[in-house]
Amino acid sequence: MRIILYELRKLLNWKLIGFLVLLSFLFYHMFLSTGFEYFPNGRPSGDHFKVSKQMIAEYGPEMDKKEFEDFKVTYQEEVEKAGEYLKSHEGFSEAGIATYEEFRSFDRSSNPEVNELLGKVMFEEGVDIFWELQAREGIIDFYAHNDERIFISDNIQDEEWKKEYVKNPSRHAILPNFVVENFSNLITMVAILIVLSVMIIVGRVHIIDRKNNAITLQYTTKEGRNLFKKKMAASMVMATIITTVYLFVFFLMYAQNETSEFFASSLYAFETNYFWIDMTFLQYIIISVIGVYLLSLVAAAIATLISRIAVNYISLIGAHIPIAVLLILLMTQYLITRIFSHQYPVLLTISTYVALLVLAGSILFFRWKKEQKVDIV
Amino acid sequence: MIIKQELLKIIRMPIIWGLIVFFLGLNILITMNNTDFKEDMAVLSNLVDDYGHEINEETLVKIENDYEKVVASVNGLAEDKNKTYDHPSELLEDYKVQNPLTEEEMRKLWNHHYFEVYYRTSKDIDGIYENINLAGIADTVIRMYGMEAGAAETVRTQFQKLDERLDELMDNGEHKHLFFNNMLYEMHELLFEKLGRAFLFELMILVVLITAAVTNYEFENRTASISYTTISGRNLVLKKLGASAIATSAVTLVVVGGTFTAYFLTYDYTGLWNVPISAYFNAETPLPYISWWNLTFLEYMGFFVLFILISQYLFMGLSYILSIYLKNTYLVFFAFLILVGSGILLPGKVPLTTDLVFYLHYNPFTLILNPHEWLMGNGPFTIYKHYEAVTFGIWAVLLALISITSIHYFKRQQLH
Repeated sequence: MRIILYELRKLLNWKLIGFLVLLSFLFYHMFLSTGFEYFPNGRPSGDHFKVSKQMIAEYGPEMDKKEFEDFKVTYQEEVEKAGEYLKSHEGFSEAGIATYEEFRSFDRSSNPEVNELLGKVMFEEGVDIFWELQAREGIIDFYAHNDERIFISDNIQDEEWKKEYVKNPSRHAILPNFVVENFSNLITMVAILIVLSVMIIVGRVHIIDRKNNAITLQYTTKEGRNLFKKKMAASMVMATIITTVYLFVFFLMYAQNETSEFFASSLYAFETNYFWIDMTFLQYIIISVIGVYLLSLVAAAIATLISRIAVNYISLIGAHIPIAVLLILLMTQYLITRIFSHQYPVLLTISTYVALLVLAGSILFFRWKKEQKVDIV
Repeated sequence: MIIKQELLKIIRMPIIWGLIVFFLGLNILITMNNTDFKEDMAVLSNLVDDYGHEINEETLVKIENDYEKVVASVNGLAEDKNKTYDHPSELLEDYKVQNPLTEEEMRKLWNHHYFEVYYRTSKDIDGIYENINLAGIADTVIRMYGMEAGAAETVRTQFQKLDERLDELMDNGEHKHLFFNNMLYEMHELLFEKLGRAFLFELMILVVLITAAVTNYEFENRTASISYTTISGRNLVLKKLGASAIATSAVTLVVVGGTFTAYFLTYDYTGLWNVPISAYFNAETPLPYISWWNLTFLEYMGFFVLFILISQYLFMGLSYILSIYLKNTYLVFFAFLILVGSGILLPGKVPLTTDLVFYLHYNPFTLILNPHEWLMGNGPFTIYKHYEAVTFGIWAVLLALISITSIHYFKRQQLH
């Protein structure tokens, strides 16, 4: 235990931690900040977000057929409110626009003056009701055509799954697509940052001893040869600590996006792209987090091995690069981004994780076997 | 002689070779991105074989005659004999839903259709260029980025200069040449943006690692206290720079050369080497590529490779300086990454009101972000005619000065 602590302390080189903080800061500004600052992005997305939350407050995480009728009634009421606004507005009543229908179907090119007024109301004054109506129309459209949409979708070949999907009441869940996309993009970037950080920090675990010529001393004793195991443990602990710290900070920031209302909604929702598994948004978040932890442990295992084999820093960094590139590619395809979505078969995701874990476990196991007899020079 | 010894140190590192092989593999994967279009692109090769690449009245007449034959054969393919089709695309439109043709006939129809696009676009080029409104584009750019005051003024002036160049280009007829229809195939993007960026970042990794490893070698292998105790030993630091420079040129040529070999074996550019890079068919967006000088495709490629090489020398200089002070390859690598990140981020963080934002773009890290826009007036922040030359010049002088001071410092430092 004491040795593991010593090893951990050796890994926490203050210069490197400083670099890592700086790198994370730059990484945040390059790849993460937009996901926080521009969410939900503009109008009517923002209005869509608001309306969806109101719907959850009213109907719960799902909106069944009866509630949908009620939703349409609310829409009509809003339309009337919009009509009242138009009637009370001088410019519009002069142009003969008194109802929302007329407002919508108004031929913009026919009357530039009214067109300008319309632009002013929508973009400069940003009158909420018109944007909200647009958002509601989008939702109604999605809901009404949900079942047809799945059958014309070219991306999904599995007819059985389609039939199952249509029977499942979870498809009435309220969960706008951009909420899922936003989380998916953010967690992918965080996962990349974590994997790279683990490689940077854990990659030094053996090489510092080699650089100090301590290896020749250590490996002459039995205790010294057992160090590999201790260092292995230290690497795993380190990876877990790094992952936890990053994820903690990330979720503190993600809380600003205020999506907790959607946690109970299923990913089968009528507005999201398709996922294979009927899981709630919260479960999706948890699965993504588990994925990040697994990948961080895999990265730590590979880094431990490379660190033991590499004779100098250049080969240490160089050997990490193809692995980092490969892991990043896999993460952005199906290991983290939109995990279990219809773009890739479920089995592919699961088998890749299993393969990576088996690979990580076996390289450590076989190296551990080899450590007992390996020559020092 | 000593340089040779230093070079041997590099050559004997298996990881360098491993990385080169890995990067070449990656680049070949990127190269294969457009192979789906290969058959379609062959239509152009035939056109160029028949008419040459220049579009003038003479060739247009020839193409027109052949096009009539094509239309006739399209009508031969059509099922409905009562209907005559003016263009292959009309028949394609009809056959979108139900298609009575065999696969081979369909292939032919598609080829006719590509012929049609080349023919009709060639006739339209003049009209398209007369309608390019650079002042309007400048206004759009200014609005899109929210520029104000001085910065907005600069963009307007630069687009005005580009407008003059556009007039010159139209007088030269640089735009009227046949080339791959890149609105469809985006070959410029594939070659100069996707592969270009891959080159720049891959080589950056290699160059930084090599330079740092060579320069720090004595410290990392505990030979410093021997080699740096004599004056000629301290002079090693210059030899190491020489070795890094040779290695930088070598890896650049190997990676770029290897990838280009794969690329041009995959895609047939026969007969296209002398097409001006500003040809309309090269355009991928509503604003076509407008190069500041009249350059052929081959000349543009030459500058492209040259600029890659110069960028790598700058990165070499930077990592050399970092190595002298940090003395540790690991730290140098990450310090370098931080510089890259800051260089990319900083220009985006200043207010868009003064020219400061343009000055900040004169750095090698923003320069390598859009290699497909080098020498072109297409990026609003890098739209200066001499942007590349000025950036390279300033940084080369700056890095040379710091290097000289660093070497001076190195020769007098304490050994510990």
